[in-house]
Amino acid sequence: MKPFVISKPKIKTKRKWTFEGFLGVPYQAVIGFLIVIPIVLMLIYSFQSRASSQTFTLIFTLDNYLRFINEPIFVSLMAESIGLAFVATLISLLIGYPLAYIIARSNTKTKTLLILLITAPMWINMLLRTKALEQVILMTAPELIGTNVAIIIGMTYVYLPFMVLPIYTVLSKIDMSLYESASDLGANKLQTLIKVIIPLSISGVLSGIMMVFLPSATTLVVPKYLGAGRFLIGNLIENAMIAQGDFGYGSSIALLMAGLILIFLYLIKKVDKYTEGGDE
Amino acid sequence: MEKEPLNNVKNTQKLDEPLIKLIDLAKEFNGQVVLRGIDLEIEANEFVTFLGPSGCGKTTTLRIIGGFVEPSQGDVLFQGQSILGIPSHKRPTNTVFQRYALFPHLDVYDNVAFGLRVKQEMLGRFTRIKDLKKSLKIESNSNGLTKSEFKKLFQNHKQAYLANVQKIKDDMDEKVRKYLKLVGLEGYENRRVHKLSGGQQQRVAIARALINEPKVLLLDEPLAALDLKLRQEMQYELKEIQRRSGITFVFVTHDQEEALTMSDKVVVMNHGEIQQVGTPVDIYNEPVNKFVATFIGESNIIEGVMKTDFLVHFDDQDFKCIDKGFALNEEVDIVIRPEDIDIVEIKDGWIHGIVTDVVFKGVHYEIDVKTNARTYTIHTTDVQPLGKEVGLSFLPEDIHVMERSN
Repeated sequence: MKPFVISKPKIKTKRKWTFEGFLGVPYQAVIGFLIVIPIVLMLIYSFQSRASSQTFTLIFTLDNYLRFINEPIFVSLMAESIGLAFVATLISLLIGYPLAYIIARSNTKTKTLLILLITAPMWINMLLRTKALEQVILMTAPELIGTNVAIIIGMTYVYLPFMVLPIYTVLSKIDMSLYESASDLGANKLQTLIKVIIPLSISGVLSGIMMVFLPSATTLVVPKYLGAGRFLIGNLIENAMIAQGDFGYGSSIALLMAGLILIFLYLIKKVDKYTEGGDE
Repeated sequence: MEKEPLNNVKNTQKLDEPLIKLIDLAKEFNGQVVLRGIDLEIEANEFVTFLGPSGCGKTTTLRIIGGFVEPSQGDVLFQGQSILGIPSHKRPTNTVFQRYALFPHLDVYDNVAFGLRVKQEMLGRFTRIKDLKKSLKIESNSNGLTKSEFKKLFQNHKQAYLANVQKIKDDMDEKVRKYLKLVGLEGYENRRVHKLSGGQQQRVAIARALINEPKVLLLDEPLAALDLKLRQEMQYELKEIQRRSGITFVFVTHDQEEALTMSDKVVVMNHGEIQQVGTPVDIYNEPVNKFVATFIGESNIIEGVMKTDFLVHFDDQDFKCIDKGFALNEEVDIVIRPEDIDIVEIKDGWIHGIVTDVVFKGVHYEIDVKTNARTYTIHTTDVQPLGKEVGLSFLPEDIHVMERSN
């Protein structure tokens, strides 16, 4: 058989304003003004020394980074922040996955109610909620305030909905007949969960992990109230930026943190084998 | 409540019991009756088809047998024992689902191996090495073995154990490949299932179900998504697989041709009730009522009166027939299949009319002939000109008399 050869005619494509292109304008504006420019500014700041940032001369110095890395307390603070966020994420996952599974498998009425209950706390200001949780802990177990336990409870409490919702979304999209066919082939409910449902919901789990881990690692409010004013990395940045006005130093910490988190995300993404195959 | 899987009790079955017996099954969904009074016996090695329009309860019946739906009333006996309350993963049935329900995260091989793997886990054959060591330790302690003696003993056991595990794995691999070959999917082991065509996916679904060697294979409209040519091929293949494997097939379809081609026994259903049970030939030639007659093939349905045994009156004439056992002058429905009517010269026909429509159908022509009383549809290979006046003739055995249904 003679193979088909389709020669692509070379047409000069002129960029045209399409409707879809137009829809993207607001987002591009947001990206440009609120994300790209600030990050570039942060990058520039982080390489300025404190003195130079007041004048308009641009210099290049690693002072800010070196200052952070040479301060063992700060580095351990960063490790501590990530560690606490990791534990909180793990606990959120252990609570959130079964919860999402229950919601996805219940009838429409219960589903709506449970989703409402889970999202309800998000309607209230986070600061107030943290403050309220502080009061509850002060009333029931005051010795916990300032410990890792209290901080982890706080992080879990505040960010749990962000774990449940993406997992629920993915679970509710799984075809009911897959539960049936697994059972039909001899798998009990636990085997079905482990062999079919969890692999199919990995993408939801991963986005849940990101949505809990990222804000937990940089949270300001939780350590402030539940940690009895303890410093985590978020507070350190706040202190450098707001209290001392040292933008260069604050920026460098933030960028280091961002870099670390990026590495984490990359590692997590590697676990996600299924999603590139494309969902149905 | 869970009961023991039935594999353990298969030797106690009574020989005269049918494989599956449905007793007075009924099902309500939210107060709506979808199934009632289903009584049916399915024998071993039978190819049984539930046939009916959508919403007739055929899929619900299948799902009750498979354990996915609990009936509101009635019982399901498997070899004489009730299987109600036994969860689907312990039933001796496997299902080919309507849209196949293949696992999208697994490739073809893993989909087919799924059933074997979970069964291995269930049997606990893969006991852990750690557990093996523990049990050996208890044993050796009571025998007073020294440490080095124990080590040697453990190593021997470990070797034997690992060899055993390897053998189980090899057997499993061999079996998976055997079933992939059976459905003609050799070389597709590592394909993702969503990259397969509809027909290939369907084969995976069949292999995945058959590899568990079920007593009964339930098939829920498995051919519905395939194109005509492939559907016809798969019909023969399925029938062939059923014959070779000796497994009872329970097949659900709304396609009468499919039902007639493949089945040993056809169960025609409508409005949640069984209309007729019989061989394809019985169902086609002797439909019990108007519904069955119209659903199975095309028919001329005529209202008439049964004058006495072997004599029926319709279209202002008396006709000889081969039916009997009706009351005198009972009102009946009469079926004459389009292919049983011959177009003849006017003088040779029982009745006569004018050709009003001729449609070419490939194998035959479909010709409408308008008589004084009605329009007859006739299938014939000889074309007739439009507007020609013709006679119609049929034999007494072509007249099928049925009870009048409302």
